[in-house]
Amino acid sequence: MKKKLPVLGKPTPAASQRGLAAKPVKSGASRPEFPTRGEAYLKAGLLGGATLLAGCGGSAPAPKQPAPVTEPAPVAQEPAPTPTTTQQVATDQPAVPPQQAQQSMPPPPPDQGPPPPPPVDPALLVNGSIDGQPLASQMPKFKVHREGGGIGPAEDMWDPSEVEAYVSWQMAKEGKLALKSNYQLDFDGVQLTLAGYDPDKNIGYAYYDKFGGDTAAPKDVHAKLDGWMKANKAAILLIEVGRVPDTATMKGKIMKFMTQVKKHPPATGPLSASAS
Amino acid sequence: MNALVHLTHDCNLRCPYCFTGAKFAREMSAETARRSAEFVIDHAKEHGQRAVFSFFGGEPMMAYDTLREMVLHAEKVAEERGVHAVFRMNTNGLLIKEEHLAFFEQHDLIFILSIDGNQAMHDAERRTESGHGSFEALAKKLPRFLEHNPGMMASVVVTPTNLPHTADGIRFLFDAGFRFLIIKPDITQPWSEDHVAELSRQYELVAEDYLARMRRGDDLYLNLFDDKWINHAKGAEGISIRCDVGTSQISIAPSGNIYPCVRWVKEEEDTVPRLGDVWQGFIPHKLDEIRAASHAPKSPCNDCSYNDGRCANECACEHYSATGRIDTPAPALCEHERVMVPIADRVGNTLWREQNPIFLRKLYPKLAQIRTNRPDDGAKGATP
Repeated sequence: MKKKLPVLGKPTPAASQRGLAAKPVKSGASRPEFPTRGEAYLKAGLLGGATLLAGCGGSAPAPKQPAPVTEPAPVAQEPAPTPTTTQQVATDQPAVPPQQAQQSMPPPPPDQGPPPPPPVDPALLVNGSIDGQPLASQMPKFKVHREGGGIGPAEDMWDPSEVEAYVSWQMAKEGKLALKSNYQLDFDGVQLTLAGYDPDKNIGYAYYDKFGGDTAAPKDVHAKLDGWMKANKAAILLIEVGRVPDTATMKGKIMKFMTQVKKHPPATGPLSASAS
Repeated sequence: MNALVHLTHDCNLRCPYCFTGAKFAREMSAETARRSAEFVIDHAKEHGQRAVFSFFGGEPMMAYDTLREMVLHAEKVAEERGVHAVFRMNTNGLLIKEEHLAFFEQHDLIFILSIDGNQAMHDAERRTESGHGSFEALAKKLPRFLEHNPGMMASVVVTPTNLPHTADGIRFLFDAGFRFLIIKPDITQPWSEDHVAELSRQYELVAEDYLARMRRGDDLYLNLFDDKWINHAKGAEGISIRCDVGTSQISIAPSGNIYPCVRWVKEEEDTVPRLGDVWQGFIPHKLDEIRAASHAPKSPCNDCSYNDGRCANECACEHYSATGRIDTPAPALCEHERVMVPIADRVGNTLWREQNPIFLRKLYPKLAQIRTNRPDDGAKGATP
């Protein structure tokens, strides 16, 4: 039985919609051909414990009969996706559940840390690097997506680490910088965690994101940074993200800053003995 | 918690379709504003949420002094309580000046602009008390608004009166630089079969334009399409998030009374469910009643093929305004969705077949990320 709600006491607006009706669509209904995320990710090997990543999404043809989300086919029976150069799992082997795979693998040798990173050709670093690695050929992107809604405004959401990756890439590329992430700077009475900093060229940036729970830099820090910039000691860009970040605006800020830095570059070399 | 704060019942416009009731000069008092801020922040802290203040009206800029004081007070209280406060506003934009933009900038207040497309569409409904269209005055401000916030969202209402200009109006907004558009039909108007036929024609034109923009790489949001695609892509998860009436969203009237949603803030009428006030808190049984009713199955939607997240039939207060029942959508809404769902499906199918990179990134972000991270993508010119 329908629950009775407060009575309006007059004809409702719906009564004026003559000739129109609320009626369910049962036959001949339109259907999307594109899959649900569950279907797409399952096919891509992102669900169900498999690790194969390629041959999905962007290069996959539209599935004629997408697998039902509620009863996914076992991953081991799925045809193996097309291999790529980045794949690390042999495609002629059926995928095995992670637990089983773990059991069948030999235990790691004791007291052995992670393998050292492969040596990087220094020539690849001259045009900019981040944490000793050359810049990716493709610019990183960050996505702003929307959540919530109803009749009120939905929320814009983003991942601050994605925005940082974008800023680091732009800045390193523009200034040919060798950026170090999360650099702890202790200089002139100011302690800062810089999201990216080149300790040789003394150029970098600090990133404050309200969405990530950061509070904005205090005014005295602003003043110190301005002072360092004017004295050609260090050039540190403060990026304070409050509203929805936008690549064009962000890039504009970086370009403006780097143009200024190129005109008046800070002195190279160690900033101070206390900088780590 | 998302609190829609109605700072005033007054407005500088007299749009015939406005659902917020009679326009009279009753502003929220400073004391009520402060108490409202504390109430929302305390509730948010208790439930581990952010405190989102969405200023509403009437026209909230008519009560700018109260808005300003409330933002400052809320920031202070939020900091003391360790809660993240966020500020939003729905506005017609006409009263916003440079000094206001500076305040918004400083306090990260993002506003959604009510603008109904181009001049013909906008002035058909959005008029001053003397009956003059408000487009010309607003259009002068658009470049500065978009400079202030390039991601500014436009809220557009479609009615039987402005319907013939819908496609041109939406095209105008995209051309003007808006990237996020929310189009809502006013389903409380006397729509007819002829109107529905015209709606279909207009939406076909909108679809053609949106498809062309996506094909050329414009990263835009138009709720008519994107919400349906994303809700389908999300599957069952997509259905449950669209109406949070009486749960994580409330409306606070200038008096401090709490209502389930914006359409119910009509203090001159005693026919709407009031959930309590900011001094005494929620009335538990009223809250339970409204939650139960808003979560009840909609009639006659249960066995409809489109009731899978693609149909926008979840807005409880919209149903109530049109039919007097939370669980019964208006005929005009159903007709609108029966027009729009197949169009959105068709455009989505086309973009999927074409493997449009923007479409894929919107719907399947994990796949897009994998492809972006693959180091050989750039060399091969693969889609991001």
